[in-house]
Amino acid sequence: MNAYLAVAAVLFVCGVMCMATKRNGIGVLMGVELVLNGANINFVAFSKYGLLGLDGQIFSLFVIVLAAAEAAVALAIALNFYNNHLTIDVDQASELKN
Amino acid sequence: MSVNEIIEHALKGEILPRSVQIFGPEIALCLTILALLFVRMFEIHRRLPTNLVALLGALIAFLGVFSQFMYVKGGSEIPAMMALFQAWGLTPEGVGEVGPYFTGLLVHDQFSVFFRLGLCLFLVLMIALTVLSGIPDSEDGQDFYTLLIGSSVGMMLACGANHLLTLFLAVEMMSVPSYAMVAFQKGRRQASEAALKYVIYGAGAAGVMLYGLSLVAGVLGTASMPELAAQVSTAFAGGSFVLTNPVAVTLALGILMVLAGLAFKLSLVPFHFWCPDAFEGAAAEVGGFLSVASKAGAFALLVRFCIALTGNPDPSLAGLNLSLGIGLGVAAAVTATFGNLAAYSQKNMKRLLAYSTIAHAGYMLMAVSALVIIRGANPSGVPGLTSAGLDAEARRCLEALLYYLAVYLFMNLGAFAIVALIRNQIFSEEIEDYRGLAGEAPVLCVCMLICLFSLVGLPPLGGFWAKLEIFASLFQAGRVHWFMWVVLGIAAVNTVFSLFYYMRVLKSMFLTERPVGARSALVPFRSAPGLYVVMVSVPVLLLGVLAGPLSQTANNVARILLR
Amino acid sequence: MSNDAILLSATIFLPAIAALFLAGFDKKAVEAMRMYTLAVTVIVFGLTIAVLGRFDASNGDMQMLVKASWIPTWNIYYQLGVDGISMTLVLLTAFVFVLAAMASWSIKDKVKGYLMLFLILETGVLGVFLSLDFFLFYVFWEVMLLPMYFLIGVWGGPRREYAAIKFFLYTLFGGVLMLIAMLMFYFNSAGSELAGGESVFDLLTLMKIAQAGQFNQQIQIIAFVLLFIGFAIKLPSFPVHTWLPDAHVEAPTPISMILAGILLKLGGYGIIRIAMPLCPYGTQYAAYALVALGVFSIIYGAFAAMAQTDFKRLVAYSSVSHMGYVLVGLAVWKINESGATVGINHWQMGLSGAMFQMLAHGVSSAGMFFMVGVVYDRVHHRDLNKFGGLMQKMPHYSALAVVIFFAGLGLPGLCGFIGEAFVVLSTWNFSPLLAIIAASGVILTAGYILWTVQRVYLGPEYKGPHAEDLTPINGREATIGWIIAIFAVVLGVYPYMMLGMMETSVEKLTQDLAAGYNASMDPAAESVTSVSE
Repeated sequence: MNAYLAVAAVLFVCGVMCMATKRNGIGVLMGVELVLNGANINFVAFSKYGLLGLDGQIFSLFVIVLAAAEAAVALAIALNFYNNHLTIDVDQASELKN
Repeated sequence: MSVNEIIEHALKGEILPRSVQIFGPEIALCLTILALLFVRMFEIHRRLPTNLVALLGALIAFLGVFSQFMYVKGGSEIPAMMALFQAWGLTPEGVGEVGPYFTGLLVHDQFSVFFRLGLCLFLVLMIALTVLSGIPDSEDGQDFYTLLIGSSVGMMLACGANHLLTLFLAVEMMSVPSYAMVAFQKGRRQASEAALKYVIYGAGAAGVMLYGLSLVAGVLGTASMPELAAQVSTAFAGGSFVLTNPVAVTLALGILMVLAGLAFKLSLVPFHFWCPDAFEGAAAEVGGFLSVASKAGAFALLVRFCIALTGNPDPSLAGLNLSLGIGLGVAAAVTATFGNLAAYSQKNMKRLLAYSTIAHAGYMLMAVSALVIIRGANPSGVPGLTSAGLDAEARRCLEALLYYLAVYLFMNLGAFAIVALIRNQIFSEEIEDYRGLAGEAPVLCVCMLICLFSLVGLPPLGGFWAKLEIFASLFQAGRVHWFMWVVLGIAAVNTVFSLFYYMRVLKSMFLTERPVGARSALVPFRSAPGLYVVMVSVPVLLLGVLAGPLSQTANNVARILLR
Repeated sequence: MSNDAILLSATIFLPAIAALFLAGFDKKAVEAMRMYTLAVTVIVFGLTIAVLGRFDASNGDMQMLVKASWIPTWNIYYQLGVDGISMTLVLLTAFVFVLAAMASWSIKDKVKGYLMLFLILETGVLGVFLSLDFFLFYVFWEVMLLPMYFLIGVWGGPRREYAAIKFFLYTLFGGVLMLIAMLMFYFNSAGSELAGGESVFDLLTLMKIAQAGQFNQQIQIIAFVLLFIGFAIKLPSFPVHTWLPDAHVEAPTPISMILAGILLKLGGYGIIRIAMPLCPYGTQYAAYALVALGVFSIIYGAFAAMAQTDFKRLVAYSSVSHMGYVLVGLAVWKINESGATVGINHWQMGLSGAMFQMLAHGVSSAGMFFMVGVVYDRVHHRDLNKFGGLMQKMPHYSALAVVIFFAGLGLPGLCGFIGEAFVVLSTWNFSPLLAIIAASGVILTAGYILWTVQRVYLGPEYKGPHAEDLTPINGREATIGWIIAIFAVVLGVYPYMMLGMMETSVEKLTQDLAAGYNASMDPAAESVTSVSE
């Protein structure tokens, strides 16, 4: 089980790093996907080797669907942002300030 | 029970299965969404305005929850409500019985009914506001209302969450439509920027939260919330909660991540960055929705999660409860202080209200932290409080939170509604441009005064009573751990701080003259907007003067939840 | 509902209800609105006279008790009542409001809003004086803030916004401290059998618990400090007085009259009604500090007044100085080593003096502000250095003004004298050194008031701005002036009119406090609440 958890942890850390360092909006969203998939591996591993049982597998199925929905909305918003600003660099999103 | 069977039941007019009975209002809302989409598909939105369809659906759902509320509160024997009870097919075995439904994914109790009632009421008021303020227009109305109602369904799920899966689902269901709602004014640069920030922070927070959930569920071996507390002791096997224990570290990390995700929804410091931007970029109506409904849903989740974790009498785990309570207390104090200080320099009204929302999330979180501290207290170890006394104090904390949310619904909605209505008149949301409005739109300004003073917490308005209850629960929690007294002191000082910026708005409205050539904003008392804001502000006043019934109800709700 | 309930509730709420009706008036009917408001204040004054008629001065207890459940889940009651201490202040309130309503003819702008807020303010003040439930007291206390903020902020002078927010912040800060003290008493009362094991806000019950010494010493000290800061802001006492000159200077004349005449008394009343009876030990613990603070306020206020060139600011600082006597009089409670009270008669004298000083100051300061307002309405400035010789242009006005200023000075035979004399005499028993300093304050007061009279009224003909506008006072102004002057003389010549009313209440208060202090010292009684610490 530990091997699976280690992979999941690595994915999670990669995802968080990606979110923190990428300036491109799409890149950040990719980081989010990594984090979600890290969690998914956790769930499946716990369900197979831990006490979580089928709950874990169902959890991960739901997460896959939700991740798709979230990504769709996020991409639509990113596209809208691109239409208005001609960039998806999140650092350019600085018009709203105190 | 398959879908076919349920439909059979419904068509034959038989008693519906319990889960469907309880879930009726949500189903009504889902049907409304479908109706909205069909209206658009068959091009009848020119004859049948979409906002009326949405309003009707929301009203039906509201009546459904209301009848459930009366049913669980007063039993099946209320003559005036009989027709409503029958229309919704309520039965003692169904709605009358407290307990989990949908195979334990959701739970039906007074707490969830109370929150759902508040959310449905808010939804109705919100749709009524959008009808008045004209956002959205008839072409894209169905999209907006679909998102709005969809997000509300997510929040209603949150109120009854009984399983970590529903917790996560609820968070996502309330967030994803709200991302799109922030971006709703597609052509506005600010709106798209606000939405991008919101969605990126939101997706990140959801990811982290999910990872936390996987750790919690994995370590404890269950995802069902009522079992969490018992599993905590099993997982520790008699060991105590210290950070040298690897299980404890993993669990603490998981809890921390889950709380971070919820903190994002509650816009607690340091997860608040999205909040001012999203509020400023989005329309005021959306801001009101995010600041009230989404807060209420997230608080329901937070309370459920905290209660699930701290329901453990095992004294060796007191460390977990105490550190959780103090952690929340620190977050609350920092959030309230930060929100109030940052609001001070704002020029844009929506941004100011965003920081005020942050500050109020801090006040409300104080009640939760007091709750956790009191529940974690050793029943024999607190001088002056018996075990029964501790239970009463725990109820008081929850009562404070519920009362605060109820008042907050009206006062914050009132403030945002007035911002929206003024925007429709003068096309501006800058405080600077509010100068001298009191002369032209006295109703709006007086109602704004009521709402803002209630937000400060001055008697005889509802906000005062709500704040008093929070202070009282902090005071009592201070007997368990002195740190709560520090939090109380910070809360008190914050109340004084907050006066500064609310008064700046009122000063602008009342104390200065309208500049020559400024757009006039004539909103008479006898107009739909005038009546609407009065309707929203009067409860603020009433909840302050006649606090008895609601505080009694809230206390009851708390009693059953904490039993 | 008993007659008492109707009478007291009507006294409190009539102005607020009348304010609602005022909303129905036509905007242009300014004169009618003013007359209506004046009539309302006169009726309220009549109601307070009716309360006085049913009041029994020989009984030191609370009378005309009204108790109705308000928020049962929290044991909150709508509870009213009067005793000798509140009775006199209620009369003063209604009286000053009548005068202020008469003075409100000088408000020309947005009259309707002004008068509505004016009446709501009256409800708040009367509510504070009559309520006997801590929660109700607090609600009324805070209800006053809002109208006061707008009255200063909308109708005030050039720096009105600053002054209004400063006033609001100071008072709200004090209010929040009071709120915390209120919660301390509320939750600690549950430990006493006198409250039936429940938490109460009922002041009478809380006083009984305090008298039995069942709040422990630590609670009493903390709560007293919190309450005292809250009330000292209103009083105002030295370090927290800085809102007062600003608020006074910027407020319109009638509001200055109310502010000085009544609102400052709320601070003193709060100390007498709440801080002292609920914390006898705390009061005694802090007694020397309070007297010293009061004496310092006297001297500081007098010197500050002397340094002013703005007429209104001078009167404002004189209020700080005069209210110092109140603080001194309240706190001259001397005990010996065994904890027994020494010279309780002297302390009673001090308390009576403090109360009388509040009443006298209520009359004289309202008069002084009115007199400043009259001349300001004419020449539109308040610079003392540009005045002089008003006696020649406005003899009638100047004569009245001089009488009222002398009343403020404390000239024997006028109202200011009795309170100051009582307080200084009683201080001698407490601490001769402080008594001497306090007495020297009287000389300073005489100094700045005489100097002011000389600079404004005497001297060669007025040469300052708007000299041509110095018309003799009209009938309305003369009426107000005469009423105040007559009361200043009557109170000075026959002080027993007021002292008699509060004598028994003051006696009872001192005895209760002494008993409460001894009980708090007694370790056996303490054990009841020490568990709740």
